[in-house]
Amino acid sequence: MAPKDRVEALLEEQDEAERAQVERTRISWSDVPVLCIFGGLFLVVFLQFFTRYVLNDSISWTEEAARYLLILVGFVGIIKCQLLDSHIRLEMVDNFFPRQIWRLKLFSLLVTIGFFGVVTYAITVLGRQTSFQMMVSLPFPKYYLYIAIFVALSILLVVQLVQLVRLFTIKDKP
Amino acid sequence: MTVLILFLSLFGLMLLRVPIAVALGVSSLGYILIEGLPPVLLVHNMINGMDSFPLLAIPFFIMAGGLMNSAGITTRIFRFARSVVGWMHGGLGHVNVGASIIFAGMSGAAVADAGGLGAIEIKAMREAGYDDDFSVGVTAASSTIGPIIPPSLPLVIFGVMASVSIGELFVAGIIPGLLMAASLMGMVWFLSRKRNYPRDTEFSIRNVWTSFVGAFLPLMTPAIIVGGIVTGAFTPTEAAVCAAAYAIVLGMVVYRTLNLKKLLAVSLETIETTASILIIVGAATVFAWILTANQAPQLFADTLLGLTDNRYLILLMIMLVVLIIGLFMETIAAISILVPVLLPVATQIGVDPVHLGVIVILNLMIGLLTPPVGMVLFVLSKVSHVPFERCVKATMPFLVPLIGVLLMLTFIPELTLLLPELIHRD
Repeated sequence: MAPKDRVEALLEEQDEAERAQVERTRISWSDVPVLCIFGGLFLVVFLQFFTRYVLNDSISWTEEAARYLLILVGFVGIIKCQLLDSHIRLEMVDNFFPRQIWRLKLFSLLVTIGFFGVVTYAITVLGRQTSFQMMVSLPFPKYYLYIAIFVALSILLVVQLVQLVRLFTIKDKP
Repeated sequence: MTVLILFLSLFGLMLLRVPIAVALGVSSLGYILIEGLPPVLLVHNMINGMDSFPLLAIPFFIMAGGLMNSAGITTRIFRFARSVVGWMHGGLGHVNVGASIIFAGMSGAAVADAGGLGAIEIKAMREAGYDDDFSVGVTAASSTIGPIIPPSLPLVIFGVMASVSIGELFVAGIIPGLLMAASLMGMVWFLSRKRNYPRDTEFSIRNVWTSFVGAFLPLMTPAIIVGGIVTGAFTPTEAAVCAAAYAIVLGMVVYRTLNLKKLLAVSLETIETTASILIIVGAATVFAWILTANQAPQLFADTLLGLTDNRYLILLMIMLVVLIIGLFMETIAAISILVPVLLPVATQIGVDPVHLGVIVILNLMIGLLTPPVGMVLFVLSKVSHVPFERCVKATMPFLVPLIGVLLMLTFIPELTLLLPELIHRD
C-alpha cells in the first residue's frame, strides 16, 4: 500500500501547487486590449453557435467578424510574444556557440525588425489599394481592419526597438 | 534553383535563432523583391492565409486544453487511469499512456500534454521507484497521441491547407491513436516484465467506479468534442467553443478551482500560443505560394514518379521526406509548407487526402521526439530536470512501436479511412 499513498500525496501536492500558482498570477493593464479582442471573438463565435442551434436563425455577420477578430488576435498577440520573447524558434545554436549569443540575439532581432518594418509599410499600401472595398456582411470599409493591424504592428515595432536599445545597454554592463 | 535558394535561406535563418515565422517571411520577401514584385503581395498572402473560419478552432481548443490542465482535473484523470490500468506490470507506465489517451480527447497539442500531465506523471513514477529513463520515455512517447486523437491542432492546420474536411480528419485519427496507445502499452509491458517493475495497485471494480465518478465531468469533454463532431452535430470550431465554455463552467461553478484571474491568465496564454501559430501559418502561406508559383509540387511529383511507379515505394519515399523535414522543422510550419507539395503527388497515386493527413501528422509527431528539434523533449527535460541528451536516449526505445504503427497505417489505409467512410461518406 505504501507506493499508493505516496502517489496520492503527490496528486494532492500537485493540486495545491496549482492553486498557489493561480494566487500568484498577475494581469497587467497592458493586457486588457488583447483580452477584450479575445473575449469579443469568444462571444461572436458563441453567438453564431447560439443563433444557429437555439434560435435556428443564424446571424449572417458573425462568421466574417470572427475571422477578422482572429486575424487581429494574431497581430495583437504577437506583441505579447515579442515582450515575453516566446516566438517559436530553434535555440540549438545556443549550445554550440554560447559566447556568441549576444551577436545571435542582435542578428535575430534586427532581421525581425526589418521584416515587420516591411510588413508595416506594406499594410499601409494594402489599405490604400483597397480603400474602396467594403466588408462583405458588415457595414464597414475593409481598411478598418488594416488600420487596426497597422496600429498593432506599430506597437510591435516600438517594442522591438526598445528591446534593441536594451540589448546594447546590457552589453555595456559586465 | 529558386526553390533551393528559398529553402537554404529558410534553414539558414532558422538555425541562427530567427523566429520561424520571420525566417519564412524573410525568405519569401527576398524572393518577392528579387523578382521585382510589390511587397504588398507579402501582406496580402499572409492575411489571406490567416483569414479562415476553420482556423478559429485553434484558440478554443488551446483554451479548453489549458483550462483542463488546471487544478483538480489533471489529477482526477490520472486517478481514473490508475484505477483502470494500474494493476498491470509496470502499472504507472500504463497509467501514463492511459491518461494521455483521455487527455488527448481534450487537448490538441503534444507539447501541452507533455507540459501538463508530464510533470505529475514523471514525479509519480520517480516516487514509485521507476528509473528516470523509463518515465521520460513513456511520457514523451505517449504525449504524441494527443494530436492524433481528436481534437488536434495539426489536423486543423492540415485540413485548412489541403481543403479537406476537418471533421473527417478528426474521426480518421481515432483508430490510429488507439493503435499508438496499444503499441506503447505493449512496449511498457515488455520492458516491465524484463526489468521486473512493480504492479501499482490491485484491481478493484469499486476503485474504478469511485475514480470514474470523480472524473466523470472532465471525461465528458472528449465525449462532447468527439461525439459532436462524429455525429456531425458540430463543426470542429463549434465543438472547440463548446469545450472551452464547458471547461469554464466546470472550473468556475462545479470544482471552483478556477477564478477570474486564472481564466484571464489562461486566456493570455491562449492568445500568445494562437498568435505564434497564426503568424507562422500566415508566413508559411506566402512561402507555399512561392513554391507553387515555381512549380515545386510538379517538380517533386515528377522526380518521385520518374524513380518508380510503385505506389507503396512512392508512399514510403514521401514518408521519408516528411520524417527528415520533421526532424528539423516545427510542426505547424512543416505542415503548411509540405501540404501543397505533397498533396498533388499523393492524389496522383491515389492516396486519400484524409489518409495522407493522419500519417503525415503522426510522422511529424515522431519528429517532435527526436533531436535536433524535439519540442516535446525540450519541455520534458525542463519539467523533469533530466538533461536533454538523456531524454533523447530515453525516448529511443519507444520510437520503435510508434514507427511500427506509422508503417502499418501507411500501408493499410483502411485503418484510417474505415471510420470516416462509415460515418461521413455514404
